[in-house]
Amino acid sequence: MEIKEFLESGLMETYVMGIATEQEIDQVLLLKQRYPEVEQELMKLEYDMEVLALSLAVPPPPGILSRIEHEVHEIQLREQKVEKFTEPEHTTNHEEAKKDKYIEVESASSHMRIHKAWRLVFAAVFILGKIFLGFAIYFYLANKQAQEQIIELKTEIKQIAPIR
Amino acid sequence: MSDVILNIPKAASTDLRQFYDKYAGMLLGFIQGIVQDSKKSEEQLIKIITSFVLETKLNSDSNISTWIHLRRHAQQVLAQQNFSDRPASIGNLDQTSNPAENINNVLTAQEQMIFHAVYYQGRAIACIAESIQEDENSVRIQLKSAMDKMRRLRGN
Repeated sequence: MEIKEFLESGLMETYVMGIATEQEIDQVLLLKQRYPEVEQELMKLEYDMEVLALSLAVPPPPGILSRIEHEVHEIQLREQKVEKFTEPEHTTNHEEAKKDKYIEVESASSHMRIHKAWRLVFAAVFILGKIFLGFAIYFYLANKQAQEQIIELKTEIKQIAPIR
Repeated sequence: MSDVILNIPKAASTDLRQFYDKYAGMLLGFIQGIVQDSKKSEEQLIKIITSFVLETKLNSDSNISTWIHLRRHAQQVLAQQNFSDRPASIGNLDQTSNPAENINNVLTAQEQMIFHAVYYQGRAIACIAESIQEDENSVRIQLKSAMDKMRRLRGN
């Protein structure tokens, strides 16, 4: 479509009036990018629409602005309150997520939540405990045996000493 | 009511005032073209500006001018309340003080009808074409013709 033909087609007017179809909008935007005269004509048309609206303007009665300011403020306040109210919900969700990370351990008094990583620590402590216990029994017995040997040796020495 | 009492940030309040000063009259004129009752028009004006300000935060990144953006928003709000279903007032265009600007004398009856259907009710070209049993191109050209005549009347 030639530019002149496009300018005469009324497509720009439908675009500015906000009733153009998706296809028409794409076409107008494409030609606006390509041809400066289309961009210029569109700007002129938008300006003229504003001038037309200005000529049809009706001055609003006093007090309307303060009512709008009040309304805007009321809605903003309400939105802030809603945000605050929805915050605990977020905390609950956060706690639920936390719950998955921990295993519940039941004791006589109350519940206790522990991180899953502690399972390995408990296992390591248990195994090390067993090893230390084994060593302790071994050294205890070895020590006991050594004591008995010392006592035996002492008795032998005592028995041998009077003979000399 | 004072901004301090309302706890409105000063910059936001100034933006709103500037926006209001520029567009409130234009918007009320547009609304009265659809809603004939002046009390109801004022209520709609408050409703439309409030929702527009909250939705756009007065920072429209659209390619279109603020007025066109605002008018479309007004059309949507009014359509939601079935105001746009009623025939728009042609008399509203007669409010201009200069007789030379009497649009109705310049536009044909069909051009007036098409312009009102598009401008006030936001009706699609296809819909208008169907209702007047003409093809879409013809409706589009008549809309352009109506807009050109009005632009010429205002010396544009």
